[in-house]
Amino acid sequence: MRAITWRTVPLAQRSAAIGELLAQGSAFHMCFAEDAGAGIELAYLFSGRDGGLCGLRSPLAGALEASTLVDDLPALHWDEREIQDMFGVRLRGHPDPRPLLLPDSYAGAPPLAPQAPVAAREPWRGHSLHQHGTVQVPVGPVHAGIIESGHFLFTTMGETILQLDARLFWKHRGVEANIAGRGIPEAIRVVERTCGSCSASHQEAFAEAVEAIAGAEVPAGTRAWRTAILELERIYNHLNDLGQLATGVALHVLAQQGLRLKERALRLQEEAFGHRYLFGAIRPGQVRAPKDLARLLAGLRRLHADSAGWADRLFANAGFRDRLAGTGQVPREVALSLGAVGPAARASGIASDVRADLPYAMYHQLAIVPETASGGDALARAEVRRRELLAAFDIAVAMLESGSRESSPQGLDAALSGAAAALVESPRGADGQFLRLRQGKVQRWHLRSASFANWPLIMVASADNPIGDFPLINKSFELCYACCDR
Amino acid sequence: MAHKAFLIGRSLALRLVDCGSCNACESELAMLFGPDFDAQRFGIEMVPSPRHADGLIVTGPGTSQMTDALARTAEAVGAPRVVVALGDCAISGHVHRDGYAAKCGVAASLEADLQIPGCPPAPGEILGALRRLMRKGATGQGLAASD
Ligand code: SF4
Repeated sequence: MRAITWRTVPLAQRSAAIGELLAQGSAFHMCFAEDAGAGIELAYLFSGRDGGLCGLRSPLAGALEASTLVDDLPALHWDEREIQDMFGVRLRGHPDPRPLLLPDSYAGAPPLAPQAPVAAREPWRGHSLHQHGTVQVPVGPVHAGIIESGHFLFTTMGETILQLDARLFWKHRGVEANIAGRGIPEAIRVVERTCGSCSASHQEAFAEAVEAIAGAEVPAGTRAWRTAILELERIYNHLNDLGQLATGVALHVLAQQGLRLKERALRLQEEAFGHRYLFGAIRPGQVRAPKDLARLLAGLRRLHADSAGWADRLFANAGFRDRLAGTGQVPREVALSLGAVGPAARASGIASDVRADLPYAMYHQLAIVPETASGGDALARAEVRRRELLAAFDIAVAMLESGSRESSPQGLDAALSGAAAALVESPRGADGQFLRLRQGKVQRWHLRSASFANWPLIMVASADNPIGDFPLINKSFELCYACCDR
Repeated sequence: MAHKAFLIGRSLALRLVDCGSCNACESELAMLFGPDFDAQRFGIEMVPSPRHADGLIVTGPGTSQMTDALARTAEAVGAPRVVVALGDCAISGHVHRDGYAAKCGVAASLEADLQIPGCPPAPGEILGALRRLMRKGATGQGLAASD
């Protein structure tokens, strides 16, 4: 849980202030806009080396515009486009000002700045290369399998992808605007349904933000069980994501075995916490106690042994390694500059993990060492996931054993006012949330999910690969569309 | 005018259209094709093209951005077709109901022949509901004539 130390800087000095923070080794986490009562402000959140969160706020100077900062910080690329859509603020000089979140058919005022004028909106147009011999291949939003909705536009020359452009946000439900004005219990029911695959992570970040606003201390026993739940979420996701890779290289037996293991994990979660996807497991100040702890522990130990054996067989398969090696490469410098997070960043040699860098729940005690690999390819991303999967079992078991039922802190349902941010390492990386409450009601909530941060990497990873490998490259990141689109 | 009952008897080929789910409904649907449920042994298949499908299985509250894609995919299936609304979001819009970007489920654009409630419905529930639909198809009972 973290309070934010804010510093107000004029629009024109943002670039210098950000440059200074980056030079000090601060890490960028999120950028958003909000109107907390005094007009629209742009906000930039960083964490310092000391683990504190510092924020820059820049009030707009009258006009609904500001200059882009993507040259200073390329990771802002999508955040700025989002602000443009949701607040009607023009980011002057942005290299790609196309709409991001809102559909072409949207005709109202900007959803998060209803007083702003209705601006004329350009329809989205795909970027492709039209040269002799190039072919454009549009795919989606509806796909040939059980896959979320998204649109990809490939420019190919023969089999090779020259350029990939994507239009996501087909699943944009307007969650940030919709939960404004709702009370905490109602809001978290929506937050946890933003993404079914990262639900516990979203619950944890939301709960941490509420607790930070309240200044509440959460008892260690509660934090331990929450940590276990977050690792269970990592386990079933990593099992799923490795199993998807088996499907992607047509290893059907291993893929089916992966589904079997995932089903066992989901059943354990349902038995212990009442929901297969952990909905309702974490609430401000609280955690759902495991129903039959001994049974859960026994089940987890068996699942650990079987998952380890399965992963060994998968990685021992020469075809699996051969298809993944060198596929969908993201060089370290590119991952760094685009602000990659999670297993994708670690597979490109970046040793960052929120559990280690800004520990929350019980991770202070666990001394997590980020699992890294250097290849930056699909194989490296799979390796990182395999190691994290096996480590997650150990953490989950230890945390289940040390957790306990404790009385929850009081005052979390009161008419709280204030703002805080929280970061959680979801199975796909840093899940950042900003929350401002007024009298116990959500005034502004912003989610920057790991998938939002990492989608732009897929465009880089796909270039120069055969188009037939795109599904495999996509699976090697296995990003959510749901928590990106919101 | 064809009758939907002719469509499904011992097999059911469906095409998924995700209209803004949280992905848990998809995850449960995918579990049907793992060894625990193995829906294929009952003739149930997810097919890669609407042209191969007897109908659609739709998830999510029906985002405005997906409205056109859903209508066009339904069109490509051709009549008669069945429409399955999977999960509370698809049935009513659930927690996203009445937002600026999502509606009240698929009902706003397509009439569902089968609703499978739950958030998400468990794979066993999905399988049971689809099999009941197939039995209805086999006996010709309880399915409306199609458009
Ligand atoms: S019904 Fe529940 S599980 Fe299904 S998409 Fe909606 S929120 Fe997700």
